[in-house]
Amino acid sequence: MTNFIDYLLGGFSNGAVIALMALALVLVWRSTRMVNFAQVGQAMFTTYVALTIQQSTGNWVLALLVAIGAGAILGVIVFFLVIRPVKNSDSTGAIIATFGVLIALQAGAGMIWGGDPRGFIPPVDNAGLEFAGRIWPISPYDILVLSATAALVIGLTLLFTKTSLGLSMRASAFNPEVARLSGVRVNRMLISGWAIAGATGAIGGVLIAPASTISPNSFDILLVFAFTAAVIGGLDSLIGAVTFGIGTGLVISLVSGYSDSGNAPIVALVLLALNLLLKPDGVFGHHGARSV
Amino acid sequence: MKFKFATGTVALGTAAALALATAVPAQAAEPGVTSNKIVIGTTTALTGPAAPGYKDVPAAAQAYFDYVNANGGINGRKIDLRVFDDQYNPALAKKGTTQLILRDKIFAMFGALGTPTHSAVVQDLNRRGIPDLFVNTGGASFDNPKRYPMTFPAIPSYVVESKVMGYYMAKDKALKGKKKCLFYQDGEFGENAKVGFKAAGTKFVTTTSYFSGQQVAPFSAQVSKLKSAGCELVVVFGVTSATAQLLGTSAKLGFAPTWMITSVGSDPSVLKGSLGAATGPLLKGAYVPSFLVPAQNSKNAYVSQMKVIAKRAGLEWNFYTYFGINTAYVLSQALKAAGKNLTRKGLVKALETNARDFRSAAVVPMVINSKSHQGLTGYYMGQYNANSDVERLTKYVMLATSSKSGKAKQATFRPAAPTKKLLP
Amino acid sequence: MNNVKNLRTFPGNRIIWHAVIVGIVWLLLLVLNNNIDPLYSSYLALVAMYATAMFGMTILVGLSGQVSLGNGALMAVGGYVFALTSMNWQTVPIIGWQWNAVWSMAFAGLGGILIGGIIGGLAARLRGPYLAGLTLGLAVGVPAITNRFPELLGGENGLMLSVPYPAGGYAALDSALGSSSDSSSDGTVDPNSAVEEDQYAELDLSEFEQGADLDADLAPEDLLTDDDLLTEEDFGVGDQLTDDDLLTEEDFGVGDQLTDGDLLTDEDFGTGTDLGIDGGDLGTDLEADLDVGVGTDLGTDPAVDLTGITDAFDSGFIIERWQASMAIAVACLVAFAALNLVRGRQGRVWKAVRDDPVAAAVVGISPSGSKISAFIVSSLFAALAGAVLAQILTLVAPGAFGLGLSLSLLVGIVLGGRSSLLGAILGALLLVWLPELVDGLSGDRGWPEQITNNAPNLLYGLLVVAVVLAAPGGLTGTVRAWIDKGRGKTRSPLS
Repeated sequence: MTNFIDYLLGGFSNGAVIALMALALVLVWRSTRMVNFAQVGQAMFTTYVALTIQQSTGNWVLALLVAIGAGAILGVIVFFLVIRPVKNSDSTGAIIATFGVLIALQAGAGMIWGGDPRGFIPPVDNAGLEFAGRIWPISPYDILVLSATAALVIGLTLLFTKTSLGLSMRASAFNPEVARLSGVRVNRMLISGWAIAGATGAIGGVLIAPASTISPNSFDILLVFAFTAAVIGGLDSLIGAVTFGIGTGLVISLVSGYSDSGNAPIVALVLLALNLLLKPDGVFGHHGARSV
Repeated sequence: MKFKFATGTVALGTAAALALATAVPAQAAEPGVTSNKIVIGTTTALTGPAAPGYKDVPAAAQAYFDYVNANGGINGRKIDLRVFDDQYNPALAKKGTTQLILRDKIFAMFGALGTPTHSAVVQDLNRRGIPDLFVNTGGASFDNPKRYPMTFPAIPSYVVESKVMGYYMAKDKALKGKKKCLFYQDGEFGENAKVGFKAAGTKFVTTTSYFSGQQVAPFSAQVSKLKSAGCELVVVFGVTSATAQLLGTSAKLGFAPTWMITSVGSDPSVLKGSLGAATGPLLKGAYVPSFLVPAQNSKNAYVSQMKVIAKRAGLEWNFYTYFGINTAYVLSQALKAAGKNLTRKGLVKALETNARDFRSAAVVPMVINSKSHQGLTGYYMGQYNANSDVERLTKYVMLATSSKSGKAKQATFRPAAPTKKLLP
Repeated sequence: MNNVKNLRTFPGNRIIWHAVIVGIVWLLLLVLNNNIDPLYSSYLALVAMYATAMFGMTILVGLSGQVSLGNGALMAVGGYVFALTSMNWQTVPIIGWQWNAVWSMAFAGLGGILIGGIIGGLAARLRGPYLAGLTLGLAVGVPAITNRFPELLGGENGLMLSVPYPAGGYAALDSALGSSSDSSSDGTVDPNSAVEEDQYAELDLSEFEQGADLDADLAPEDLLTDDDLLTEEDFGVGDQLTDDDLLTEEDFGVGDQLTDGDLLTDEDFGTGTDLGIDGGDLGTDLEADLDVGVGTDLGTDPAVDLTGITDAFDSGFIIERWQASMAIAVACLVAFAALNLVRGRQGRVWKAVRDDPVAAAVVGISPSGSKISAFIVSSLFAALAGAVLAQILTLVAPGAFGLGLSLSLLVGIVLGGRSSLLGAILGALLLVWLPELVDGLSGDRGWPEQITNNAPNLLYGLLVVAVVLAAPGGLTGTVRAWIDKGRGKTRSPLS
């Protein structure tokens, strides 16, 4: 039983990492109705920026803030240079373009920071908490990551439901023509969407890094799991992304604990297929979502 | 309607373009060898998930060849190393090797990385009679002179390594009675290790694995499993980034068994990059098999000289640069031993008859003959100290083969001194 | 030209017309293949292999409008079926005919159809990104399955196929090596048997076990003590070695100072005379021991006789040409099938469903049926391409059929142009040519290692973005848009 609880707790902290990246994918989807495969590349790149800041100043908060800024800027750059010129004429082309950006970002990071994995010192203790005479696989740092994830999803939900900016962003994404006629500055909304997604991804990267290592390809597998989580959750749903991001973390943890870790990708594939069979638009998805 | 024609036209255009690009250079008597040059090729992962560490190997080999070339080359010939980045993808390895053979006209392959990648080309290389030297993998399948007479592995196999680990665990007073567990990478790596442990008769209380790429997140479930099973000695068969994640997660969960880590998953310089200052305390006391003189042993004539070569080329000194220079050093001696009249068959014969006389930083014998191309045959066991340097080495080495049943044996072997100025 | 136009006006003759076109292209490619350097034949084989898979992408992505990130996994299915059937089946089940590679291709295709039907059935319910999510899962999950069944599927290292020879069958390689033990009765060789059987005879390592106290150490109850452990000093250079004999930084660039030849002797090296046998003696003694132990003269052992290899290689069989002609044959047959599907009724059905599923349903077309059929056809083509790739690599391994391959197929079809089969061919050419281009552009310029290593990937990524930006709708789509513009028509490059 303690094993089971250990696997669950471990799965929670791992799942938070997937959830954060899934959040960023959902934000881009909400903004431009497309999947940004460069998201993990952008997050990787800004995490390297944060690492550089932290190593030179030793200030984690500053590093996080710079990463958030860099993430937002990188998101806007990708949107302006790549997505906007392509998106309207060719949405599949836009997806391929994000792959191109991902490859280029990974190579660029390799050029600047080298290919060897680098560590990231956590801002708070990462040792498991001791309780009832044993150490549990959850640390103060995990609690920070989980709280940050919860705060982000609540904040973003409020942004999209309570503020005019958020409502305008959703309107622009759902129907740009109608939004424009209603006086929404659609272009500005799309830029905001990409900036917020980039910043969210950057926060995810900086939060993941201390629990892991950073290298140009280290987030690759995250893309797969985050995308899976976002798709099961319904792509348009922030709460869905977080729920199934953490759910994916739990599945991987339980499969790794009770059987062979190598079964985890296969179990994830089977769950994904079953889920899409029962809920073709994701669990929290709306049927109104348009196709790519 | 139009494009049916266009299909044909473009194909024709392509045909013309490809035909124009065709050029058949004059064939030398032996491909890749001229009076002043020997062309050799390698395929390895310079980029992608498998690149960390291994990307340094060809650069280090190049540094050694530069040094040899600056000092007159080998029998008057300079070595020209061509590198192809296969990103650890068998399809790219095939494409790169074909390019090296047909475009670069290499004399021999040198230091190709990986079992799945090299499996795509090993038959072709042997069919063409191209020497395939020092394949960088612990997968045992390439040591098969009957099927692959041109192919020679660079490192002892994972089966040999796990047999040696099993032998040592059974012998060492401090380890004999401990509850032993295995942590391994799902796939070839771990399966090979299991073969060796089975042959050595090692019994594990529990085993747990990770899948390649999973190290992006903490190994909480795996460590919880090891911890609850009461493991006192954990054998680690994974890549270095996984070792880093395992040590980090274990520290987080207050799990501090005795570690025994595979030689390919324990490079301290890479671990330090990931774990930072925590590396020293976490790695202290961990057992690690090795087949080279410890890399930090600067008093050793091999290490001190190879460090100079790495430094002059601007390379960081780590296991991979060390290994790259050492392998290039052995290749150079083989090329020299093959004589002035360099042929592919001559090179293979030189290896099969002279390998024991080749100097290298290896502390285990190099067994190459017509029956076995195994090469390095075993390991010594070392332990990391607080500075993550290997110390407390066994006085003897443990030798083994890749067989399914044979056990490791204890033996004495001491490396001969390097050649003068480390030139072949 | 008039005759040609007349021919094309008869719909019943369309198939003949397509056969003529494909036949001419096939012939030209074969002539080309036989007259170019084998290096270019190897590229030709890859282009044909990619084109085979991407004809399926044209139908799936272009005509049916379903974005797939997982066609590499469908290729894996074909590759593994090809490998398993050609390695394990000597005769055709039920019929009992002699097995050959064509049968394996047929079964690979069958496997593709089956898996395509299953995935297509799932996919037909999904739209856009959900389908992308499912197929991405396939691209990652299917290669992972091979690790679950290492005995059957070879795990991470995959299954090796023997190199085929046109004459003499699969046994040619081994007979050239003077060995017949691995050949089965029908002349095929299973290279994986080397891994299965215990080929590693125990080496005679007894020569290393000299030394007075070793027998004692080997006794099971005897455990290691700290005295048995070496210290760093045991590896040290010792006092006897003079600095002149060591390579130092000053040696660089001043090669003329070096005197030739004389090696350090072992007496000059090390302090550990107590360490057992002396290194210098070791070399010579061992040689003698080894000869006794192995019992053969190293120089004349038939197994080292390498003449057979070169003879086999020199016999005029150029494997690149063979692989290219095989890949071209499959690509042309698939192109023929694709042309008839795309230009026929089925092509119009796929387009109708893509453009307006509701309207299509009104006129009696089943949208999900149309989507499933597109998936089955693309899966069939992918599986055939996978079987071709298996033969080019003489290997099936998860690493060769990973996410990278799946994404390459999508990149190729988007860059080439997804609405026509020509776009698939252009895309296949780009997939092979672009890496060569970036390698040429980013060759070693003496930059630091980490720049040089990553430069090709950076350029490749940027080029993919640039082509998408410069040619929305791919190369063919853009060219056609230009032509239409010239004629005063307006249409989207994607139509």
